[in-house]
Amino acid sequence: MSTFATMPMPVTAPLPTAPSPVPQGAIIDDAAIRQIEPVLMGFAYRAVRREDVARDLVQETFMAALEAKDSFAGRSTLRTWMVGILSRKIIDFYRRTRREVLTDIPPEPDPLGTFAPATARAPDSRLDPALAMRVVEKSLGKLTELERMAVLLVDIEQMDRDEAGNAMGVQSTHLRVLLHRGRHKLRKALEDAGLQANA
Amino acid sequence: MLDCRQTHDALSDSLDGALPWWKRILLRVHLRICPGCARTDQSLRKSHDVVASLRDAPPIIDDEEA
Repeated sequence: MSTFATMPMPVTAPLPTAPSPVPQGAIIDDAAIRQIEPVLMGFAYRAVRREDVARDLVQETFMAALEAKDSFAGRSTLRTWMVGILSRKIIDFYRRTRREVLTDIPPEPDPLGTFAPATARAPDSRLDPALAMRVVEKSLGKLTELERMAVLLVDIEQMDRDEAGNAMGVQSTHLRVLLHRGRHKLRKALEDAGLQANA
Repeated sequence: MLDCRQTHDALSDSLDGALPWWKRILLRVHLRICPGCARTDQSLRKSHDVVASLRDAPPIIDDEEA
């Protein structure tokens, strides 16, 4: 198990090389790139679970952001704006790989049985925080792609539902169901881990 | 009144502040009288906090996945 912080990170050329197309004083400068690249890499890795793909998507995101920099109106933070661009790249990747049928038809509520009557024991009250983060990190990989994207955008990136729905290209009713499912699956994973840890 | 399944469905909405006022009250009442749903609410909020804490943490790469 390792983290990006400990891994060698190849430069995501060609952005920092050659004459930069970004005018001096523009919001996407070298400092911004250095600051936001790890954020985007983390988001992309959590979404696609493959480092090589994540790196490609992040590079595409920077290219798209540079081309569209004039459309950044400052209504959101640079992070939110670029995560939105990256999200669309990730959804395109999902579509290309067809690992999940992407529709905008709201699924039936709770068809996967995430409704679970509460158990008699408090689930995870003594679960070590670092272990809890590892459990959640691993469990994110077990969500469907769209559930994962919904959780990443709303619960980690703290986008509101409308922003997240726009970034994913789904209607708010669909996003609500994806969030509901994803959150309860993560809750159950933590409960299970807590029960095991406390057993 | 909300039953347990309706409560379960409302818990995620409540995290986003997306419940109308009257449903917030019904939810609060149900959680006071139903220990099972109250535990589920507590557990969901705790896992929500753990997920949120990943925001500025580098992802943990699982060797089995990588």
